[in-house]
Amino acid sequence: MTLLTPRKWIGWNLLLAGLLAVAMILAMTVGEKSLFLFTHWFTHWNSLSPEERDILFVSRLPRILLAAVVGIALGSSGTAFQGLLQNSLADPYILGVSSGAALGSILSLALGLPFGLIPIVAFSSSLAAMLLVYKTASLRGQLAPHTLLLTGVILNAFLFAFILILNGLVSFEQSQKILYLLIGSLDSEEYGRIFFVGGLVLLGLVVLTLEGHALNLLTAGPDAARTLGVDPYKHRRRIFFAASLMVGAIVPLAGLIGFIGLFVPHIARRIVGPDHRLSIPASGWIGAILLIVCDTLARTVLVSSRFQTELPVGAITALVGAPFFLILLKRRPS
Amino acid sequence: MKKALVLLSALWAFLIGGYPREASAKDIQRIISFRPNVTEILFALGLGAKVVGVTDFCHYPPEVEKIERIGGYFNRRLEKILSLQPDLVVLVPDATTAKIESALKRSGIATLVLHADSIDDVYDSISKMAEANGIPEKGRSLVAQIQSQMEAKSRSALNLPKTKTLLVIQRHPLITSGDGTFLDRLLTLAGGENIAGSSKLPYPQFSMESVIARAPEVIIDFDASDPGDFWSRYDSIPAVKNQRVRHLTPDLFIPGPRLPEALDLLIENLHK
Amino acid sequence: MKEPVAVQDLHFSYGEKEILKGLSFEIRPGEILGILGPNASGKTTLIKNLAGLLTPSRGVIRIGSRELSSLPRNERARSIAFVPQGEEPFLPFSVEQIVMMGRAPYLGLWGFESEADRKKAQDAMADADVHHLRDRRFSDLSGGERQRVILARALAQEASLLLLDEPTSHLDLHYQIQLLELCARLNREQKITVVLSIHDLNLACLYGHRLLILKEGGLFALGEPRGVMTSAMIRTVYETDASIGFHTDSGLPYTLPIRLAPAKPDASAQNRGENPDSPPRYPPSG
Repeated sequence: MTLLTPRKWIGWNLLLAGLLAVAMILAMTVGEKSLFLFTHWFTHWNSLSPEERDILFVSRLPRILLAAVVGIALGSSGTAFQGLLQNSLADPYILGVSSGAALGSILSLALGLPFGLIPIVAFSSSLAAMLLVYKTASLRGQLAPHTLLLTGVILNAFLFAFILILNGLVSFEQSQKILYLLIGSLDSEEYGRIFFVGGLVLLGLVVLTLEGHALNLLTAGPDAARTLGVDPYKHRRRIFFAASLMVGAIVPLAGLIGFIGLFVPHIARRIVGPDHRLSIPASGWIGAILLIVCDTLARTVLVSSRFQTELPVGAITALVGAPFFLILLKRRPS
Repeated sequence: MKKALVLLSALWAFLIGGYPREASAKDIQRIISFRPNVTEILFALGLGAKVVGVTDFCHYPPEVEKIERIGGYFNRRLEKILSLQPDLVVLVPDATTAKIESALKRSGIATLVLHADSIDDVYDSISKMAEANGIPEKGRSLVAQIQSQMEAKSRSALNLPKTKTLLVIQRHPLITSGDGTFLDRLLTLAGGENIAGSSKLPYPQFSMESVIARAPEVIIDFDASDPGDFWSRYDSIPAVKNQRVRHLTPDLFIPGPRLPEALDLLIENLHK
Repeated sequence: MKEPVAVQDLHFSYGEKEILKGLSFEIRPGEILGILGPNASGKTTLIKNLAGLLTPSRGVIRIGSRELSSLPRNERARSIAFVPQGEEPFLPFSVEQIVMMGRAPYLGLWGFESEADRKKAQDAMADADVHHLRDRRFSDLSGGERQRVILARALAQEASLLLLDEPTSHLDLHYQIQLLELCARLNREQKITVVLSIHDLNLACLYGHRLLILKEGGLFALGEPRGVMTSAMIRTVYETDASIGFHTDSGLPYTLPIRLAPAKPDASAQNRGENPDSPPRYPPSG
């Protein structure tokens, strides 16, 4: 029985959200300083040193929360974009909203704007990119998949050209910063910003989940959708804005962390099925879990070695995601 | 026939390999520098008048502002370099110089390759530069001057207790300086203990957790952007709690003749 | 469909090009109407206009007394079902999931399908004879099976008007008959009005209660097969010579295109004693 029932929906969401909570708690205990810091914390609640307090609540927890928020955003918007564009190789960065955010960050960097202003400029420029894509792709009143895709790809190339030019004009140190910005990092973010972005991501997730049934119908084609009583344009517009908003909100904080948005939709579909009403929230939870695992690895794997450095989380996502996906691919022939 | 072949192969060798010229010291009238620290060395040796081209990032000494620019790091303009008709190009080899080096060789322009990435390199570079320009005694005296100043300052600093320090190359994500790097060595001379000194990577990326765990007493923040209240969140770090976070401009901290000044500034900030 | 569908002076253009040039006719409730015509005569365009997928540039379509364009989308979806030519969903939905999508007009903003919805979908699958395929992946099915699944989805809409756009075009003869038999049965048992565009003149005659012939966007003829299927019509509309025969049992007409006369028999063939009317032999002898 492949049908989605309310019971199934609630069950899966509870299970995955539960796994996410477990992942977050485990991630809190792991790090450079003392593996069982968390259990230590339980028994020595009042006698945590300020150092341990800071490690848990100023270093680890914001990072884990941000990883969860970013993972939810990338996973669920990835699924939404793949459905919207009728393309299983689409990822959340394909339509250029992320490049808009990156350009905004880099421009603020190049202009030497105060550190706190950078994400605000980046968010504004991501919104601008979103509107630009929308206006251009809906010229025929359609927002059809191939038009959106083409518009997005072109905008991406265009904005990235600006990024490359800026990279050549700035100082060496700034150009290093640009590189790290593009690679992405979840470290040292403030709670205020995390909650603000988290709120936007949650809003986007709710909208996309509500659009799940419409997305199902859209994959049958615009004609089929219309005859079943669904207005393709209205729904495509909602899906586009909700998903783009999520992406535009996280890139200013986390940079361009890759592969989650591409892999997780496939993983989620294989586990819970293609019905978007479930696959969208599911890919959100799975994205969050995967990103927390990857980030935890990134900040612990080489830390005790002679190198004592963190690895870029975007590299870990690819290293972890790819074999995992191959295993799934083998278990059920596509 | 044989003569023709010899001539032809000579021409071929010239076209491929360039005409390797070793400019003799007295012929050198026009010098181009590829690095800010190279520029400083040239001026310290009194060769400033001969410098006709510098990078976009050379700002010391102030006279340098009047000199023509040849580009930054990734975008040095070969045409500009050639149009300035230099007798000598002084460069420090890295990823950005490989192509331009071979182009210069093919054009037959003499290049002086220096290694100027560490403190010891500085003395070596000064000597080589002085030799190449026919003023070896000036080089020796400059080296001696710098060395004695460095020794004196360092001696006094090493009597004081070692200060655990975090060197911040970039704040977000946090990039610091590892064991054996120029800044690491300079810090040691200033009486500081690099909390990233056990890392064998030159520029390891640290999470804030690592910083909190290692509890530095002083933080030297070289990141060009204004820190704002970035550090105030981590008030369990001694450096933050005791307000010993120093935001310094990195321009002074390059392997060049101003080493003693840099050391001074570092010592001052470590023990204030 | 309890009410007749009235088409009045229907014009439709794609940009500058006018495809439908003033069609006026009525679809009677409970009939099977076949729409015929050469390629580019506007069959698909007409069907899509009837489905509400395209908006006429002039003229009006009425269901009973109400205009099609004024019907809210959901209501339209509950009255009219459309089966397009070929569908290629890019996600691995199962047959059951595809058919369940037919219940969309009854679900509202966001809801799950109820037990009643599930029952209706099961019934639709049984009617379209795809119930045994319900857990199979849609993309794994053959063309004929897929067509029936889409038909089942249309049936799940519980619409009283079923529009099919060239449902038999890519099917083998066996499956063409199977699909048309299915349509005929649904029409008979559930009183669903069926309008379908079709290429094959003979099949149209066998299954259509009435046939509508389009020529270059205009209505050429409308009526029962016996009345409409004439050599003259085929000559004018299809620019072909054909003879008309009649099935001995049903009396329904069928058409046989007349072959062009073979070339003048050559002397050598006659001398060899060959029959000049038989097909040429390969490799040629002699």
